Amino acid sequence: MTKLSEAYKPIQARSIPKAPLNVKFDTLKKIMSYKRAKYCLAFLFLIVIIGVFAPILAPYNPNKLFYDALLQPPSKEHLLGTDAIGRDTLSRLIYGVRVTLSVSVFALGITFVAGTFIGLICAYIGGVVDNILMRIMDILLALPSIILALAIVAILGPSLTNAMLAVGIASIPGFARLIRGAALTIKSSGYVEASRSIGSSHSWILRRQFLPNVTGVLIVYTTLFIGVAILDTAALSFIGLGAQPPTSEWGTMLSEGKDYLYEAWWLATFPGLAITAVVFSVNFLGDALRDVFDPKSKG
Amino acid sequence: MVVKHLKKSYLLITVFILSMFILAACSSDKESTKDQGDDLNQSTPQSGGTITIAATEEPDTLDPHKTGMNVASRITGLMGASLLTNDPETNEIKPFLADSYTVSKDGKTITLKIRQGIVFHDGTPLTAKVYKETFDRILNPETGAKVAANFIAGIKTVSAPDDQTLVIELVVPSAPFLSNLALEGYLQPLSLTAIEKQGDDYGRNPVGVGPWKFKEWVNGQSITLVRNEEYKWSQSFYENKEKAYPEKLVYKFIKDTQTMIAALDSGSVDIVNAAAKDAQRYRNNKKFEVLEIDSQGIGLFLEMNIENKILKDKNVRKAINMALNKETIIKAVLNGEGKPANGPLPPTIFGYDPNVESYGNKYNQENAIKLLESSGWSKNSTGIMEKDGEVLRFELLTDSTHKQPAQIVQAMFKEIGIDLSIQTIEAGTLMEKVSKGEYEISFLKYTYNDPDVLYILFHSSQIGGLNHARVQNAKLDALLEQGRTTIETEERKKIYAEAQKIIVEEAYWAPIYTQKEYYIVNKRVRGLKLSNSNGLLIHDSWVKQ
Repeated sequence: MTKLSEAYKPIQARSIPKAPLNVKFDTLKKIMSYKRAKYCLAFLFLIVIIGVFAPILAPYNPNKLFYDALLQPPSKEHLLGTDAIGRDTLSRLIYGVRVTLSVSVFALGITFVAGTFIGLICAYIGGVVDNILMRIMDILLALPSIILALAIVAILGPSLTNAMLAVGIASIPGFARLIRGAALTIKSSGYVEASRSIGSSHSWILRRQFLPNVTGVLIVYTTLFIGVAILDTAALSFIGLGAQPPTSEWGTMLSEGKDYLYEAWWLATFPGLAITAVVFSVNFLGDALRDVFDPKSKG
Repeated sequence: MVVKHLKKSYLLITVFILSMFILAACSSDKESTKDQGDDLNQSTPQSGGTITIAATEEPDTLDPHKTGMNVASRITGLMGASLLTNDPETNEIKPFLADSYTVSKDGKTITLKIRQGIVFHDGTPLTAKVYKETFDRILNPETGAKVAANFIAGIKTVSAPDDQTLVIELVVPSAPFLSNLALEGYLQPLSLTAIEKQGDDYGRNPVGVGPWKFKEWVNGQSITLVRNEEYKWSQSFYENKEKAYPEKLVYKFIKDTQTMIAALDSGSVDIVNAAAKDAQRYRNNKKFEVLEIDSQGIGLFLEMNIENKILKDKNVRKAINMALNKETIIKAVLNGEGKPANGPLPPTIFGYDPNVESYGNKYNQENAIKLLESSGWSKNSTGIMEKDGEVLRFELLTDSTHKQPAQIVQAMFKEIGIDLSIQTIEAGTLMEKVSKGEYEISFLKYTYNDPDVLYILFHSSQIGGLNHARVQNAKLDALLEQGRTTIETEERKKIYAEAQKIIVEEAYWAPIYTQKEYYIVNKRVRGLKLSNSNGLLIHDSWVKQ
């Protein structure tokens, strides 16, 4: 009885299982079936753990100066050596995880929210709004995202927060365009037309029909973007426009280490490896996710 | 069978590669012994070739009256010459473009006889009148000659009674005046004909009387000079009395020091002004020579804006002085190759008072904390000093060259309870802000050849200029004025000793270290010398072809 009455209700009022954005358990299973993705996921999980437990794991305070141990090569006391002013490289690297993770999450948040919103709006409304917004995005896309980020930091002033903002904002155009593309195919699909014809509200269609259907693209692109965000922030810090000293950010460490390439190889090597490893894992994971969400591929 | 073959070929390849290595090693050995042989046999300079010098900064203009940049004064100096010169061996003032000079008894009139037969690159002959016009141009406020004007401040009139005689009348006698006349960059004669012809473009097409002629300026990359074939009026201390040996001299601008070192390794630049750590690495390298000399100036000091409401308190400034462990900073920044500075003058400048070593503010954390406490500050729960709810916090404004000392100072400040944040900005903006007094604490270094530098750095008339600390101390002002007008050396020494004492006791600065100047030179460039008053002495150098 209840089932029958449910069917006669207007579509918005029906009780549909919530949380369409949930990654289903079998998706996770599918990811795990990709060997490379499995290792990457495990590695990233480990990195997150390191970030969370940094104060416990780091042997020293990252900003403590050991005046009697300047430029020490890796040793028992300092596993990855010390820098020119006597700071423990390992501790700085471990604390750097926190900075790197928060940066990527923050930048991602900006791009994700703004990019998805603009993309969906453009696709759904179309016409003049689409034209204006997309032309603006096109103009921004004409500039490489790092140049755009540089300009934003130049206006706001160099700091880690501004670098995160800059990286986030600079990636909105690409994101918006991608989401718009994916959403356009949904717009012309039969089920959207059907919903419209029975008078579903715009917000309902956007939330319940557009969003779940672009989830695949969203997740893949988001994962890949984490890599870009980490790299771009490190690049900004490398040229002195990101994290300000003494923040132990990987890009800053790399930049400080490059002045000692001849004398102290460990200073640039370890932050460089850390950035490479994390960005690689994120990208591999992104690739695997793309295969998982691609309806044509069989997991 | 196949496997065997493979193994054989592997073996062959390995042997081949190994023999290549051995051959390479042998041949390089031979080369180096040949090099040393050349060193012994060949000491006669060869003409021709190019010397390339790397510089981190690019000049703003090559008009010596309109620039304030060190690199611009160095490059324009190569294209120009000065009335007098500093002998690099004895540091005595010697004639250069002036054949002779006399100073009147009251010290106010300087009469110089200009050497005959000197012509500018554009063919204009150098006369006393040209020099008068040059000085007039510097003194004309419309020119906007900030730095150059400083060097000839105190001139009443300049006259040229005939082509050969230049008479300079000073308002008051000036001790540093003669040594200033030895500045080849800022105080070189300029051809007014060239300036009129070029107009605003003069700064990019300079004309001088020096051994090098301007050829080309590629923005952001290099400035090329070619030798002046007419030149035969070099300084008396040079062996080479004629035109320069190399054909070309190129200044390449490379911002990043590591890139610069790589350029030196690859041979695309010959001379690099390097940091201590890099110089150390090249000392044992057969291909390169390291020239080093004690720098005339303070390599690093903290300047404090005493108009700031917290830094107004002498106790806070003294505590800051005592918070700095200079030895540690030297170890980290200069690889240990520097000396702690206790006063505003280095031992290489006349008038340096050795007593400053005993009365200077020494590293002492306990006393620093006590001083802060006596001014009403006390540590809060986070270990930072606090007074009436306000925390003891400063911002250190610096450029990227001082990132390292900035972080060490930050850590040392924290140990006595001062929270220091570091703001890194571009060098030009930094200078502008600091000159305007829009800062709390900053780093600076200077090089100069006379204790009169204290006038530029501490006299109240220099607020808005290099008196970044914004010091207004009547007693100090009087001493510094006296110092520039006193010619008698012992008297002058006493005056500067007193000035140094005031500056240290008032703790206007926190001097950190004096350093050496290092140049790494590719050995294909021979005969290069270094002096602390003149920098690189290029005129005797030549390129081994």
